[in-house]
Amino acid sequence: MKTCIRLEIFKLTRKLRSYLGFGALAAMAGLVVLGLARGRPPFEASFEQGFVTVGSYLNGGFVAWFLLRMVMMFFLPVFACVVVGDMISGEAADGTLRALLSRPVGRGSLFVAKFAVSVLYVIALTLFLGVAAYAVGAIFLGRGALATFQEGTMLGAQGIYIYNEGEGLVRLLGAYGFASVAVLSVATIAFFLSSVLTNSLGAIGGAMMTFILFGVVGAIDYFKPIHPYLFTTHMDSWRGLFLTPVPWGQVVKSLGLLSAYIVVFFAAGLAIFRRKDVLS
Amino acid sequence: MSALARAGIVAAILLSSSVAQAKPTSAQVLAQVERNYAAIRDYSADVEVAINSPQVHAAKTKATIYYKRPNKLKLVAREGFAVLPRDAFPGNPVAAIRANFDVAYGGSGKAGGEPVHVLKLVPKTSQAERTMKLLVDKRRGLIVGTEAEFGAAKFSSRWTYVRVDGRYWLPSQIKVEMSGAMSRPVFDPDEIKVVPPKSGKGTALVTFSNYRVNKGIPDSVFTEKKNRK
Amino acid sequence: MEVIVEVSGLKKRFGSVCAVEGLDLTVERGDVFGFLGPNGAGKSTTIRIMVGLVRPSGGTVRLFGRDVWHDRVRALSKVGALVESPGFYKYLSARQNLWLFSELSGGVKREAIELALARVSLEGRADDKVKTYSHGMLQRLGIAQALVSEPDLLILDEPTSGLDPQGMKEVRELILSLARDQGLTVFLSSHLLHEVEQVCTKVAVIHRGKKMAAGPVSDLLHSRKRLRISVGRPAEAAAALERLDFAQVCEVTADSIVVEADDGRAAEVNRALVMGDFDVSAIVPETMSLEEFYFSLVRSEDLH
Repeated sequence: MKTCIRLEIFKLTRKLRSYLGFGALAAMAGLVVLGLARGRPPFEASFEQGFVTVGSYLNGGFVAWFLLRMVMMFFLPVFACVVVGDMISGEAADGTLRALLSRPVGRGSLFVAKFAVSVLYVIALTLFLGVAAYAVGAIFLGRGALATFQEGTMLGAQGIYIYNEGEGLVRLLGAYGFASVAVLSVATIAFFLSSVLTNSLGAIGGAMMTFILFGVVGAIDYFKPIHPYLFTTHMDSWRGLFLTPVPWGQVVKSLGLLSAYIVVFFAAGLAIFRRKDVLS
Repeated sequence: MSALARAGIVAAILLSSSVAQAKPTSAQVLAQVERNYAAIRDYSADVEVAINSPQVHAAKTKATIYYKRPNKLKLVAREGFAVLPRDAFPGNPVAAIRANFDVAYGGSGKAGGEPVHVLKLVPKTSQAERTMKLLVDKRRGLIVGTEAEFGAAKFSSRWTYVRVDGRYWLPSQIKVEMSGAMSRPVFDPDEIKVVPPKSGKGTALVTFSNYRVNKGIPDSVFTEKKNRK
Repeated sequence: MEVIVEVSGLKKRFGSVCAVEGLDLTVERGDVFGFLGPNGAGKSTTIRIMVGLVRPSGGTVRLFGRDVWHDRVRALSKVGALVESPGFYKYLSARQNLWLFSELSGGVKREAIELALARVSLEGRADDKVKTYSHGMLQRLGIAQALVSEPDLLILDEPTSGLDPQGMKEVRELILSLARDQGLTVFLSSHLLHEVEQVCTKVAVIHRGKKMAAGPVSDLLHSRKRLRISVGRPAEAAAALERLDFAQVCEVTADSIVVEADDGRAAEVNRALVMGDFDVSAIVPETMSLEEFYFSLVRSEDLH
């Protein structure tokens, strides 16, 4: 198994496609910081009564929070699926899957190894976003207290939540960790499709369409009863990590549901992959 | 002496004493407050703010406050950004009050068991300021509290003082309480979703420490654009 | 003789189509076993089952005594295979590809990779990315890939496909030398009959998923004979033989007919003609080439 993982990482790092997501995210971080440095701040923290603001909330931590908010519900899942959805179906299409599987390597080992590398990729991509956002933000806007703005979508919490830099960093780390799991839930669907289809576009497209469809259903009131079971509903729960007090119940529940999706699609994919006829 | 004459003398004494205790004018009260600041040319202090209200949640934000006579005031957020309650306006507020408000004497009252003068402040230009009551401690002439109303929201603050360098009375702590429906900060002006304002109670605690009085503060501190430390 | 490959009662259905039906094969150590059949006969499916890519609907395939589907890793540990067209990572070089595949078989020393490349004459282009390779080079690399982990059994699906005559000759010679000098057992499928005749020691013929014949080449070629019969009224004679099930007329000339029949049935053919009042003047048996044998088998199956 270790050999399999080593070889999968080798293959992944030799493909151009693997780096596109990183490049795109770095570019987005740069553009966002440019926009923040030049344009007007995204949140007019002006209070008509009660408070005055001092200074500017634009800093590395803010960029890390702001960017996650921006890319979480579309770009990050897309970039992850583009690579993960190609994991098995890409090899099937290229004819290398049959070459791999005619070697003395267990189907289960290969599947698990590929999934493990997919998990590593998702984590790397997500954490890279955080690091890049924070670093580029810190270089051009400086560092400081983290001010996050909640618009009432999360448990009705509204207002500004301000944390000093150290605590802000801890919360950001937690949020990006949560985000990895959230992105992994979509990516696992892509991985599952990749193992049953021989066409990468089908796997990637299928996962994204599921993602969008669930998202749309999650926004329609008529389907309220099933909202808690849609993974898209729970992908945003990282925002709770910036509230005081942190709604741990909700955060843990969301993590649980997202993990359930991951486990179910992984197990289904494994079961099918071990028994299927490889005709590609 | 006839009974009438005695009654007359007593009435005269009473009358004179009550005349001596006649209502002070708002100008007199403000002057009393100003006297406390007479000896202070400048000061700087560390500020720590903790806010817990429906609109703002900030635990222990740190800032530094600079004051220079007569009305230069500068707040610098030590971690780049800070939010402070409007009711905590240390420094010498008298000049600002005279400039922005019409002041009227509103009688006597009690705050924290101490007798206070009540001053009614009506903003001259209605935009940025609120109608409020200022509570001035009768004995020391220090602002010990404020009360304000803005639409459905109520704000009240209580000030406690510390004697710095044995001479100067400066606020050590300002506690603000807010209640009612407050408009939320305007986020992302292009946002389509309209969230109704949250109603609730909130508190803010501003603590001042480490006062450095009359140590000399250059003017550049107040004109410096950058607000970062 | 050690049995290397044992196929017993192999069956495979795809939906309602039966691709392989009741196939039995035995390959012994040192054999160069040819697997013949027309396109769509079930050769590729059988090979895929033999390397564990496809699950049998019934029956088993054992390599070195181990069931391929249930004990994959051990069954394939000494096997090198090339299934259909070679699959390589286009964005890697030939050397990297060989390294990668050999790692999955437990890893080999660098020399083994160089040797495999040398055997198929690709040392010069070993560091070029595979996407620059021509079809012939890919095929050769595919064979190298099968050899690189120093297997005891080679399973090759159409090994000379896409090669020019020179390339084909080299592959043939390579297979022969591997079998002869290193005692490798080779199982290959092909539809190039004269080639199989040159290289293989045993063959099996498969048609429509069923085994038609199997055994050492010379035995098979002697199991069926072509009889050139000089006879009067050839056309009528041919018609008269039609009802015989052990013989087929495959050629009619002005003065003779050519009949294919199982070995030892010449006398019965003769009797049938004579009883039909035909004048038989000569019966000359000819040994068939593998090609002729193959077609006669296929023809006889088609007619039934």
